[in-house]
Order: sequence, then C-alpha cells, then structure tokens
Amino acid sequence: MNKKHRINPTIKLFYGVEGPNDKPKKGGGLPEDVFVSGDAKFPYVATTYRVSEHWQTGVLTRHLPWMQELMPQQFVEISKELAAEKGVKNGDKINVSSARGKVWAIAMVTDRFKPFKIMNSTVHQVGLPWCFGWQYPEDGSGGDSSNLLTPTIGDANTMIPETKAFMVNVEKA
Amino acid sequence: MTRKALLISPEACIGCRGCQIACKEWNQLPATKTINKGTVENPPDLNANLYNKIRYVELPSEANMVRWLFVSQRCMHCEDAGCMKICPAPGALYKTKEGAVAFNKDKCIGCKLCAAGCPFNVPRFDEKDKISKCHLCSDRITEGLSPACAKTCPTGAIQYGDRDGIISDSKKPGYEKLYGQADLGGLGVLYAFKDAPKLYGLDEKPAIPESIVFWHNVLKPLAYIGLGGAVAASLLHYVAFGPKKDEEVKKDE
Ligand code: SF4
Ligand code: SF4
Ligand code: SF4
Repeated sequence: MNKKHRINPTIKLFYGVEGPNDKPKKGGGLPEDVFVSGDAKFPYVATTYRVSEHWQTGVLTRHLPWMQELMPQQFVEISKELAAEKGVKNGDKINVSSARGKVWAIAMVTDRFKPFKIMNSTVHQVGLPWCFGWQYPEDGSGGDSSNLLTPTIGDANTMIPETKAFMVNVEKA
Repeated sequence: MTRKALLISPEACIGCRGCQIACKEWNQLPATKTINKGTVENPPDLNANLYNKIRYVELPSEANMVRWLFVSQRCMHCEDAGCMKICPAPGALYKTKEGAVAFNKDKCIGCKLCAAGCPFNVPRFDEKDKISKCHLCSDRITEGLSPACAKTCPTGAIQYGDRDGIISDSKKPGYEKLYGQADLGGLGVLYAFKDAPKLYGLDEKPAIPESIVFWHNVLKPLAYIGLGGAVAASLLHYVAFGPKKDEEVKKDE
C-alpha cells in the first residue's frame, strides 16, 4: 500500500484535523481516528450491519422477549482461516477492538467471510451487528454496540459517516 | 373434508423466522432465555413453547461458496402417526377432519410414549408433562384460515392448501424431489427439495420403530382385553424403552 498515506486522504474528518500533528479543533472526535488505518495494532478490516430481528440499535426490539429469544447476543462473523490463525472456535467469546473502543462478541466461524488477496498479502475481514447495547437486556448479557468501534469520519464521496469499513483487532476474551 | 397440508420450500426461505414468532403469537407461547452459540439458529431445539423452528445448514460448495439453507421444521402430521399408535390415553392425540394431528392436554397422562413413537423427534412436554407440539393451527384451519406460520411467511416458503393441490404445485422446475408424498402413509407437511433430504437434515426413509408398530397391531388390543391397566402400562413401557429402569430412562433424556 502507499506508505505515505496512513488514511484515505479524501475522507472527511468531521472535527477538522488536517495533519498528523493537529489536535481536534472542535469537540466530537478522537485524534486516534486519523491514524488507525495503517496501524499494525489493528490489522483486520471490519464492517457492521443489522439483523432482521432487531430494529436499528435494538432499543425498541430488545425489550421484546420473542425477539431476544431469536437474537440474544452480540456476535462477530469471522472466516475459518482467521479463526484458525487466532485459535478461536465457533461460539467462543472474543474481544473486538479498534482505536476507539472494545466490545466482546460471540464468534460465528463461517464460510460467509473469506480472506481477501490484496497486492499479494492476505487481508482478513470480520463483520458484526450494531443492534445490541444500552439498557436491555438488563443483566448486560446482550453485549455492547459495535458503534463503540467505528470512527467519526465521512465517506469521501457522500460524507455519510463511514461506519461500514474500519480497522480492528480480534483476540480471545 | 379434503386433507390439508403445508408445502415447505427451503430454497425460497430467507430465514426471517417470522414463522417462529407468528406461531408463538397465535399459540401464546412465552419466550425462552437463549444465548448465542456461534449460530443464528435459536432456540437450539424445539421445546414446549416452540412448535416450529428454522434449521440453519451451511453447505458451501464449488458452485456456491455461501450456500446456506433455512429449513422450517415442525410436526409432520403423518397419516400413519407413530405418536397416535403408541399413545395409551384415548383422545390425548387426535386427527382433525383436515388431517392435522392435534392434542388435548386435559386427556394427556404425561407418559411421554409419543416421543418414542415419533420418527421425527417432535413431541415436547410442558412443565406439567403434557404434550406440546404443532397442531397445524387446528383452531384456525377449522375456521377456514391458514396456519399462522404459513400466513406470515413473506416469501411463500411455507404454503398451505389442499394436499392434492400442494402436491401438483410442488412439481415446479428445479424442485424434483418432493419429500413426504408417500412416507408414513403420506405426510401432512411436504418438502420441495433440490437435493437429497439428508442435506436438509431429514431421514431419507422415515419409519416408526418396529416395536411400536408391533405394540399397536398386536399387543395394544390384547393388553386392553386381557390385562389390567397397570400391567398394560408396564408392558408398553418395556416395548418403548426396553428393559431399562425408570431412573436410567430419566438419565438418558
Ligand atoms: S411427526 Fe411425530 S408427532 Fe407429528 S404426527 Fe408424525 S409421529 Fe406424530
Ligand atoms: S401450523 Fe400453527 S401450530 Fe403448527 S407451526 Fe405453524 S403456526 Fe405453529
Ligand atoms: S416466515 Fe417464511 S421466509 Fe421467513 S423464516 Fe419462516 S419459512 Fe422462511
């Protein structure tokens, strides 16, 4: 990859940080967000999505026992290859962390995620929903929202918050 | 009354599980506390408060790396129903005029023998040990409504209708294998498959255990004529579970 750029130079940084030595000018962002793309501490690409059982962050649907029965806990889908590398078994509790934060999730080891071959190196991707978190279930057994991991940057073209592609690490909890 | 049936087409199912919840809603069944065990499938098995569920099967192949089957399962409403054959309590299990195998908890004596007689591992028991399972929405279909699961299914993966019509509908291109047309006298839940039934988690040739057929045809009438109730019940227990003690049977469960 291009070593000069640690992040996509065309993304929108909402809090006005231009260069690596700038401090955030307005509130609402973390300087870490600027530097994480090329950080060896967070080597895996992550994406987030919903599940059909919960609406948005699940604040409405996590109150419904029938919905909770179907989709009770935060999970992360990872490839068989990455799971083998990390010694993770299907159903293990693992930690997913980014420069911003950390959540635990139940590993779903699956064929639906496959390592990419990009410029002769292997790039792993993981995916997790953001339908869990605040308030319900009251015992905290559902886990936290993967929005704790996502950066406050805007997509280069649309300026929509770019929460669908970011860098993380995964470790056994 | 013509016999009614459900037609399940797993390839049309999107795994939304509206059917699981619609069944709970119609039958007023409470939720179970579950955890994620590394699969979307939940609860892990049928239970007294879960009459139907989607089985998730990952079947990656060269042609389709992410083939993922969603198979709706419930009581098959067998014509030749093993559960009814073995049940010693008259009226606990009964056939409706539409061909549904329904139950009456007031008549059920909680012996759990129907579970031993069922080739599809369907009967479950509530906290009072009374039979609990899909009854093909017997209370809806007598009123001319379709079962709750079929009514809610957004893709047509569960269809309800006259059994004969369902069978001719299922003969669509690509769905050559109709499961349940002749097995056990013909099932009330038919499956349109593209592949071998075992890939979808179903037995190629479902059959009622021999000992249960023997009980039904030979011993049951004899027992009721010649023996007292207690002797008949222990004989039946022997037929279903073999020469095990009660404690061992409990441990196995
Ligand atoms: S599937 Fe089992 S419980 Fe249902 S009718 Fe057949 S034998 Fe009885
Ligand atoms: S037919 Fe009725 S009782 Fe049976 S699974 Fe469907 S909704 Fe539940
Ligand atoms: S409602 Fe229909 S599409 Fe949804 S899971 Fe049930 S069978 Fe599949």
